[in-house]
Amino acid sequence: MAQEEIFDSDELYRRFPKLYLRPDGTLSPGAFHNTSGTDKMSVELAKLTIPQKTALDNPTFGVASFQAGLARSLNQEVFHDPQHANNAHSTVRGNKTPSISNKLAKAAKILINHHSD
Amino acid sequence: MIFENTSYPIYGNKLYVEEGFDVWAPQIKGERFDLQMKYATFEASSEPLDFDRNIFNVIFEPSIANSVTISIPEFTTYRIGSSFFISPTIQKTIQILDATKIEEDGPRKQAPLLQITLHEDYDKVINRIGKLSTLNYNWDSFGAQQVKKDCIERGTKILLEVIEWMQELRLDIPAPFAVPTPEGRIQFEWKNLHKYLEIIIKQDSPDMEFFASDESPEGEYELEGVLRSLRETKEILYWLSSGAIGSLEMLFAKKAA
Repeated sequence: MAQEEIFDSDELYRRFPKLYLRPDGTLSPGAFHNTSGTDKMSVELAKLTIPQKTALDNPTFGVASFQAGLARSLNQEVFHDPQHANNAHSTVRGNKTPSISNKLAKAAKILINHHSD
Repeated sequence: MIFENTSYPIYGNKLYVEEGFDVWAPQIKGERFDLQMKYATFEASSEPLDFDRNIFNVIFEPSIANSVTISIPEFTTYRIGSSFFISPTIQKTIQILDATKIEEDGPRKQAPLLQITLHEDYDKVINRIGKLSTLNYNWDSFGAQQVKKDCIERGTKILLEVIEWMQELRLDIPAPFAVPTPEGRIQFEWKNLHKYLEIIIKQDSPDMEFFASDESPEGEYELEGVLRSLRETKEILYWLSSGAIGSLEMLFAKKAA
C-alpha cells in the first residue's frame, strides 16, 4: 500500500475505550498512551477513513481527533503506516509523558462519544 | 436521619433496615427503643464483589452514649473469590440523632428506613476499580494488558487511606477518576479547580509515578516524579486539596535536593 504524506493540518483519529470518558465529558489522558511495550500510539488518518470505521462500529469505543501538527509539536513522529486491511492506519511515535498525553487529551475533539457506566 | 461513622471508615456501604420480624433494641442514652426489622441488607462497595446480601443475625449493641454499634457477621462469599474490597468483619458506630422513643408498654412504631451512604463519590471509584479488574486482555483493541491484581489492591488501599486522611485532617479531596493503563496499571486522576494530579499505581512496586499541574492565573506549572512514601503521597494530596502553587514548587525542590 502506498504511503501517504501526513501534513501538520491533517486530522488523526484515535480510537479509545469508553472507560476513558470522564463523567464531565472530558477525555482522560489515558486514551493517549503508547501501546504496551512500545513507543508507538496507533491512530488513523482521517482523510482515508471515517470515525465509525475507526471505532470498529463498536459502541464500546469512542473516537477523538487531533491534528498531526500538535503531535509533532510535542516531539512526536507522525507517519502513515498502512497495515493489512487498514489503509488509514498511522503511527504517532515517541515517548508519551503524562504532560504529552494530557496535552493531547485537552486538544482532542471527541467525535464519537459513548459514556462509560 | 443522619448517620455519622465515628470509629471506622465507611467506604460505600449502604445499610437498609426494613420492618420485619427480628427485633433489635438499641439503648440510646439509657432509653429503650424498640424497632422491628426483617433483615439488614448490606451492599458491597464494589459490584463485581457480590456477596450474600441478606445477612441475618445482625447485632445492634449499645456502645457509647447516643450511638449504636452494628456488628455484621463475617461473610466470605465473593463472586470472583477475592476479599480485597471488603474487610471480613465490619463494625460501625452509627449515631442516631433523632430516634423516636417508644414507651415501655406503648405501641411499637415501625423503624424508619435507615440509609447510610458515606463518601458516595469514593464509593463509585472503588466500584469502578472493581469493574476494571474484570477487563480482558486487549480491552483497548491495541493489546492492552489485564489490570494487575496487585495494582487493584493497592489502588483500593490508597483510596481508603485518602478517606481516612480526609476525616483525620478535615480535608476535602475530591474523588479521583480511575482508569487502567495499557500495561495493566491503575491511574488515578484528580481535578480540583485549576489543579490536576495523576498518580499511577505500578505492579510490584510501592513507588507511584505522579504528574501534577497547576493552571492558575499566576501561571502554569507542571511537575512529574515518583512518590516513594506515604508522607510524599500525603504531601501531594494536601497540595491538591489546599496548597498554593508555591508549595508544589517547594515539593519539587525538596525532591530534587
